[in-house]
Amino acid sequence: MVGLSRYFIAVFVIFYTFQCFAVFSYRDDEDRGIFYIFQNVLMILTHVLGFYVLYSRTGNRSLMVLCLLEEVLLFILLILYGLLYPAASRLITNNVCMLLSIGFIMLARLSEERALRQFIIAVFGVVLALAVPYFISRIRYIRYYYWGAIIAGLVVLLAMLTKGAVTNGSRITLSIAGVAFLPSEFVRLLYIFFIAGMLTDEERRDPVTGRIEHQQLISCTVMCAVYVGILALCKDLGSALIFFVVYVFMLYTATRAPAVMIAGFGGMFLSSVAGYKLFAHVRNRVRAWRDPFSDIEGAGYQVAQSLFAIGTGSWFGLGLMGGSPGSIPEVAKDFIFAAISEEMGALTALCIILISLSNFLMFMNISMSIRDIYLRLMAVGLAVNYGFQVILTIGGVTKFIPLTGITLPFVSYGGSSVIVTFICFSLIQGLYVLERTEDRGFSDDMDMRRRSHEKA
Amino acid sequence: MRKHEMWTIVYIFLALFLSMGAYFVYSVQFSAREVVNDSHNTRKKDLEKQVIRGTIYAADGSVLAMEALDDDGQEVRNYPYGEIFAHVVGFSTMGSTGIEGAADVDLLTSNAPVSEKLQKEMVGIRNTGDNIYTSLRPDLQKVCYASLGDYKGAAIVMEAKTGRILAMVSKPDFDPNTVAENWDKISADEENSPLVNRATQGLYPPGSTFKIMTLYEYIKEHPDDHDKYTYDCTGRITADGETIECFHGSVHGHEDLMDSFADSCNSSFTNIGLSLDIPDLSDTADRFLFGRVLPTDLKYSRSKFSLSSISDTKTIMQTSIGQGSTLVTPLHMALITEAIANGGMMMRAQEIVKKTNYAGSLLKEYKPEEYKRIMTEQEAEEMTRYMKQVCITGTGKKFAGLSYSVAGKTGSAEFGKIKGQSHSWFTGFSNPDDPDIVVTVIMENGGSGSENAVPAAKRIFDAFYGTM
Repeated sequence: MVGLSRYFIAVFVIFYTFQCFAVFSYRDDEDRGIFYIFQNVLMILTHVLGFYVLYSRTGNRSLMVLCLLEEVLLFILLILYGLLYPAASRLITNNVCMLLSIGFIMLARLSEERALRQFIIAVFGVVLALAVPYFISRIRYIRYYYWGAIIAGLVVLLAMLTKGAVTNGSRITLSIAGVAFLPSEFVRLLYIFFIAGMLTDEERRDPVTGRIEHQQLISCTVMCAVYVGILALCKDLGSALIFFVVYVFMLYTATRAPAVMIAGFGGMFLSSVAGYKLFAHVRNRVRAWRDPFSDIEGAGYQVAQSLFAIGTGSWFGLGLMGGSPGSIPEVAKDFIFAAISEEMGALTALCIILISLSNFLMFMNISMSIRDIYLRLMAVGLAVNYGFQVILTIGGVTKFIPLTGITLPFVSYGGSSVIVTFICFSLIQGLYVLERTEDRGFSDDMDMRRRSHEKA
Repeated sequence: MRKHEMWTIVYIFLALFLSMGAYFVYSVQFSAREVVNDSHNTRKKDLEKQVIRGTIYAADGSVLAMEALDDDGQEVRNYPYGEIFAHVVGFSTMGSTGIEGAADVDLLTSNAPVSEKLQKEMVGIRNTGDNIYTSLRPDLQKVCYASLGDYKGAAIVMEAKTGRILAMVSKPDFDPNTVAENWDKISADEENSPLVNRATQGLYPPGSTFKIMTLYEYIKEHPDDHDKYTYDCTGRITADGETIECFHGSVHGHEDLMDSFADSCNSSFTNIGLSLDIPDLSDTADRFLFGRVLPTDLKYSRSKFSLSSISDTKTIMQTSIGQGSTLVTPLHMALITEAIANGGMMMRAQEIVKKTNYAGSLLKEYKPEEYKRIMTEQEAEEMTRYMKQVCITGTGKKFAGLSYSVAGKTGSAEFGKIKGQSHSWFTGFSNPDDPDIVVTVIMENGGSGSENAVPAAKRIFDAFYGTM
């Protein structure tokens, strides 16, 4: 069983991923229920089998205890979510649990200490995830206080710029009371809040056409530019890029002007060229991307190790404990995808891409169902934030794009990353719940009408 | 309410995700082999824990490298031919080199039948890796090894029309069976550097073998009237204060292009060199792969050539007879010779012929592969005519009157500061009308080409034609 475990794990994950998309062939939630339960079974099988393999290959019993605790935590999340928020998307909740499970397995394999810490962080994350949707319906007037979010975000960013600690050449960590965290992850939430608020402020819109005042557009753009600028000064390229892209997509959604998109991508191109010309570390990253092997002892080391890991693992992987993921720097954080591909196989890794895509599509699906433009814009911001982060991290690790150094949501190790992705997840769910419960009468009405149509 | 802007976002991200997924699938399926084979990839030891390294075979079916058990029952890599094949077969114990390195992934990948593989994996037995069949011929390899004698240097035998390597020897050598135990001693031996495969990595001044290039360029610039070239050799030529002498003070007298080439007249070739269109010569060198990637799986050094329109007379004079800063590897010289023999088309240098799983069922055949046309068929024919003459009346006349005929060029490449010391070169091919094999030999400090390299090459040709 253990000898063939890599094939079993791959099959479980593939079936799970298949369900993510197959579920849409059923329109009714009740019909979909069986799919969701099937997914949960596959998730448990993957998680337990992964830990069992680790236990049997290391003889470390405490791993099985951790496995049990994690199962309990995931169950609490799944069951309580179902009970408290029946209107929430079960697919998203399942996906989060699946991604967490795979991350848990890999972290337990890489470092028991980190696996334990990740579990504790996840406990906090689950508590937040359960609480946020409850509060979201009660703080609806926050939208008018976007200046508060702007200032709070700026204070944190400036603190990072002046007091932050340097890791790998980027100034990205800040310590408060002994706890180190990545401020940019939290600021990203504030950032999405304020853009949504600014671009939908009713007092700043033409009451007839609904167009946003030019002045408001300009001040929003200036604020965003300041944020991105500070991040660039901190050499946190990945975050700067995400902030920029989130802004472009949110502005596009708010204005519906294709010109925004064109200008946005043009701007991205120009700033990439400028960044390449101005900063040595940008050139290093690009060189390491184009040919990581030419400077394998230097700038190309990380990506080369990642490609060795992925290539040597091939489709089914070397099996848990069978490879050397430890040779990749930052393997538990930015490079967890490569470690998964190395030991659990490229098929499982590919499924992670597809599960993340499924998440993104669900996020967008939810965004579309929201009629309140402020909430909708926020949902789009969160969706783009999530989707683009996945592309940056997996793309960087697989040499699809230059490396930016950013974590894989729900899978990577790290307090800030897990907490913030949990908040994003619960915000989206909360928005969905809000939309569905507020208008239950209305949508039931729609359902009735549709059904009567179908009968007729 | 229309939501086209939302759909646009969905499509953009869908496209990004799918192209990233497709790129990932492509790289795992197609580009991973080369990546995994990189000598920096330490994960090959992880594969070794799961797969028993496959066997490498010679063309006659004998084993070149295989896993075996030593007296203590420990698994070791066994190389039955020892030092004779040391460089080309390589070793896998201290990193991997030679064919062991070039086919690392194949040897460490098991394509055993799936059911068998799964069964073994279930009970935790290692599967056996795939086998590699090479074109290397132990009989020719032994002759090459013996022909070099005690000289440092290299010998290569290549099939003229396919580019397949039949033999490749480099000296000094080492025993691959004990390379791990003796690693400190072998790797520290800088005087002999036995680990270097001189056939592919040794950079030598080409000496008169470079006249092949000079001659080619002259023929190319004078397609119709190069036969009308004449020169009166007085044993030396002087231009801009630089003097070049003919080898060993010979005076060749009145000669045409054919005589100049056959007798390897330095004065005449310097004279030709001074008349050439230098930027065009530079292009030709580029086309002949000087300073470029060579078509081989083995680790090699890039040859060096530097001549441009700003080069001074002295540099041009020295370069045109193969001295100066030009450096070439024996493999590169063999490839150029092979291209001439093959009507101008350079083939990829191959030593791996096929790959099978451990039970012998064929997985992949490596067909001969055309790499690049470096000259036209007519030019190659003309070059062959000149190279034939070398082996009839010229510096290679020891090949005259044999049961087989040879076209080639000798070289005496001066090196270091002391006048008169030279490496002995020969490169050529047999049976010019329907070429069989290319032989390239270099013997370090072996004097003139005709003195040592020609007899060595002759022994190799003799062995091939069975007239020993």
